[in-house]
Amino acid sequence: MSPMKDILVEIGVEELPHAICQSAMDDFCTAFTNRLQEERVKHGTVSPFGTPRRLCLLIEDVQEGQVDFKTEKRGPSYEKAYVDGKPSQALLGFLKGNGIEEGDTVVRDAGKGRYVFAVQEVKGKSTEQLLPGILTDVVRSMRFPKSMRWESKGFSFSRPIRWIVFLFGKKVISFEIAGIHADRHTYGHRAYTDGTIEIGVPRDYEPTLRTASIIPDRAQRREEIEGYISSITEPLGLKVPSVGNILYDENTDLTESPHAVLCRFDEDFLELPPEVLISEMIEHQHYFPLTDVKTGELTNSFVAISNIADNSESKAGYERVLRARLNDGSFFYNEDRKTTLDDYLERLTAVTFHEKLGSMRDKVERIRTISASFGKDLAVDKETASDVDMIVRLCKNDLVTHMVGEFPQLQGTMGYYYALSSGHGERVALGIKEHYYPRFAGDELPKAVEGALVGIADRLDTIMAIFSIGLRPKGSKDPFALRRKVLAIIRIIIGLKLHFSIRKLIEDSVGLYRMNDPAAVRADLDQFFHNRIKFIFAEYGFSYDEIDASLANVLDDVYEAYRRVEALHNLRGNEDFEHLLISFRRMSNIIEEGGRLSFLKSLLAEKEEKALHSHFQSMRESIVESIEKKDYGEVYRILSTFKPYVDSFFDNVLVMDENIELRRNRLGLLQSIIVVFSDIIDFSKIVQPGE
Amino acid sequence: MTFQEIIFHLNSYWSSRGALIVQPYDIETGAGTFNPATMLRALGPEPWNVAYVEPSRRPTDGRYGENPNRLALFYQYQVLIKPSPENAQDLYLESIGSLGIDFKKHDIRFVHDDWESPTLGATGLGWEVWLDGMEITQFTYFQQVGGIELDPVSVELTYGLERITMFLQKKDDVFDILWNDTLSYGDIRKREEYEFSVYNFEEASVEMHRSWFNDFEKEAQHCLERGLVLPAYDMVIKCSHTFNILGARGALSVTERTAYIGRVRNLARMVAEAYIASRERQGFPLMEG
Repeated sequence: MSPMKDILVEIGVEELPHAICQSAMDDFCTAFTNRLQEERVKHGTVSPFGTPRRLCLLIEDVQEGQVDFKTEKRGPSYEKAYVDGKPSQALLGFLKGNGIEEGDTVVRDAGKGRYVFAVQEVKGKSTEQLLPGILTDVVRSMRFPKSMRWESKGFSFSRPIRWIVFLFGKKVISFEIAGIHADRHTYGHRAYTDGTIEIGVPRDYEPTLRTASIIPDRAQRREEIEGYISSITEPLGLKVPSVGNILYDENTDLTESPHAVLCRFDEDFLELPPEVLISEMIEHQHYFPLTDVKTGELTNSFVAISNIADNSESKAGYERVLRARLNDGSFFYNEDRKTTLDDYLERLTAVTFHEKLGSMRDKVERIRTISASFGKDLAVDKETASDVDMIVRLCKNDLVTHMVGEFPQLQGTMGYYYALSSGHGERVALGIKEHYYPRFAGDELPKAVEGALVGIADRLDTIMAIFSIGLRPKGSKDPFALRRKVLAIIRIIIGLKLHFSIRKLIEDSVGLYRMNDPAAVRADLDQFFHNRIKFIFAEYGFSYDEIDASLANVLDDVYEAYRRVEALHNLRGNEDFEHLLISFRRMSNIIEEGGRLSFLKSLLAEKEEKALHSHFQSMRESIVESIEKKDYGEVYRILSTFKPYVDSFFDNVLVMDENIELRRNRLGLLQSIIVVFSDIIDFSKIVQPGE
Repeated sequence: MTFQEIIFHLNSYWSSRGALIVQPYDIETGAGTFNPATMLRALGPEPWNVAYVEPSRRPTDGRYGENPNRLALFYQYQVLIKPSPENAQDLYLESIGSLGIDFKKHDIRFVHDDWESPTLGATGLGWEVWLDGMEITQFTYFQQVGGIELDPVSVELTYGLERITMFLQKKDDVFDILWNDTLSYGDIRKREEYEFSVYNFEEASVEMHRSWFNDFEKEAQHCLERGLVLPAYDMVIKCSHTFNILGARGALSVTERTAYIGRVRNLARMVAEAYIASRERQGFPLMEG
């Protein structure tokens, strides 16, 4: 082993956007260590550090030089290289061309015969020599959602680079980028240190920064925040609600030296909906809202994370800012409630849904029509139907309220509160809120059927409307997020176990839209849904072949198709079952050419076909019954009992018998078996691993 | 420190750092950025270092003088430095520190906020500067103006004067801050907030503003045809303000809004191109050396 030293590299920047801090640190670390590996420089422990103002790596025990290595270059074949055991002109030319002696070659078999190889030892370069190039590559390779220029050469990075520390052992590595020269001087906390701080050797970095009031280790900063918060909240019986979890990372990436400050707002503000209070605290201020552990209710306490230790004066500031926001919030809340939610409906005329598709008011009218047919398809009772109609008439009205103007993500939630304050019942209010569910991946589903129904009708309207004006998603372009809307529809169908025909609902509603060729749009919609469903099912973890095999008439009942795929999926991987599936696929493929065939029991000749037939006869009724009961697990269990019969049938009976009558009869037998299963599974779609 | 003393102080601070102190523009603007001392001077290679107060009209933010934090008109303190100096953040922090704010007791933070003006076709990357959680300044490295990539890049600092005064005077209501030793902000401006809220939201003639917009747009094009870049830019500012009034009157649908913004942006782009060409014809007179 050659001697070893440590590397320290710190890129000092003006504050990185908090949302990208962590990925920037990770990318910096990965890129640097990858480059070391490519350069064959061995090293020990890597410790990434980072704050909003610095991206940093400490790499311990780095070898001072690259590992030496050998290169080989193929020359002439042995036959051409040696004539009567003496070097030929060809060999001498090769030696000369590479500046080597005959002793630097080896003869080896190269697959197509023996060849002469030139072998050269390459001495590793010194690590010190390589480091500037490595860091240049690393910094230039970093990509950000948005980059900026700031200096005369037009270098671009997430935010301006202002200093660079680059040490190898005690020595500063000579390096320059974006007009900044590396040295051993870093900067401490803005509030506590003037001027620069010298780093002697790499391992001094962390302790030195800690004395300059900075915690350079991100994980440690996050732990400190967690620790501060629990030490404040636990004695008070308070906790951070789960919606606040995002704040730990945000505050970690907004501070170099976090401290927690317990603050309060006026209790009167608790009359505002908790969602409003929480949005005000989290979104704009990155404050931690606190709930009562016992009751689960939001309290008027919150925690602000500060970047300084003495918060005797700043606390009042944190509270003042929130007070101003909550004042604004109450103003909006009171203004909004001066009108009933019902009365906002006509104002939707002024909100454009899409210039070719009219206003939100027009959209609501379409959702009404779609929900009405949908309600009939789902056979909902009269009361539900009338609630659904009311939900539709109210569901978009909060879009024109002040509060939703301020916090667009509170759409639906404000509708819920305003519906209640306008005298509507809980079911209607909840339906308004839940018709937007799920709003994002992993979000909850509507709990009640009313919200589910309106939510599906709303999304279906958007999908059909956008298709009707020819703006369907293409390739990576999906500006109206229609694919996500289908995903939401499918998730709701599965989650709430809804049985209905999307195909019929589209057919019944497509007349709501003006278009030149309704039949073509409908076919396109069917295709779109079909493809999306396949894709979505695959995301549920099902393989494409089991999906393809189970998708018969999917648009007439997506939930049943889902259950069929699930039942099939649960048996996959079992060796006997896979074998059986392949046998059935073979049956399915053989009969494909034959058309509809009849068969006669009296024509069965071999004992194996008779056995198969009699097994089929004995099972037929239970298969049909299980299919009727939609007990797909049972169907597949029965299918499994066919294995010995099918196996010995194929081992001993020649289907394609020379006797055309026998052949047609055997095909007929197989067909009658396949047909019984055909509503459940299309065996021809099954694929085995490796096929 | 009173409101006016803060302005004096910032003027003297930036003046001593080499800034040219100019006066507010005499046309209604939505922000200090609209002043030609920023919007036009940020274009092209000539160095520039300027500071000024800009009354900024935001018709939709009016609250009839009843909200302690929202105003239809407020004052920005605007600084533009081109090229952006290496110590821009330090210069800024020093200016705030010199107002008597101790960063050991008040938490100052640069919180990511990229800036975009769709009407000016301008974008920048930077931060909101937070003081104990309150946004007091917008700090931006301009990247584009009028759709043109800037080289060199300028740094723009926009101080919210009322907010800084509220902070220093520990006031919760903007109308309570002291303008000088005897008069409050409310004494000077409350009635104005009320009348302009009524005007902007209820009384402004939609028909007249629509027609003005069209006229200003035409006039801008006419000026550009005659090579009169600066008057053309005045028309762009007027279009923008007229559009803001129409917005406050609730006279624009979403699609109309987009169309109006597109028309102003288009003019801003033409003006930006014409301005650079005009400076070039003049031989970029402010170039050093």
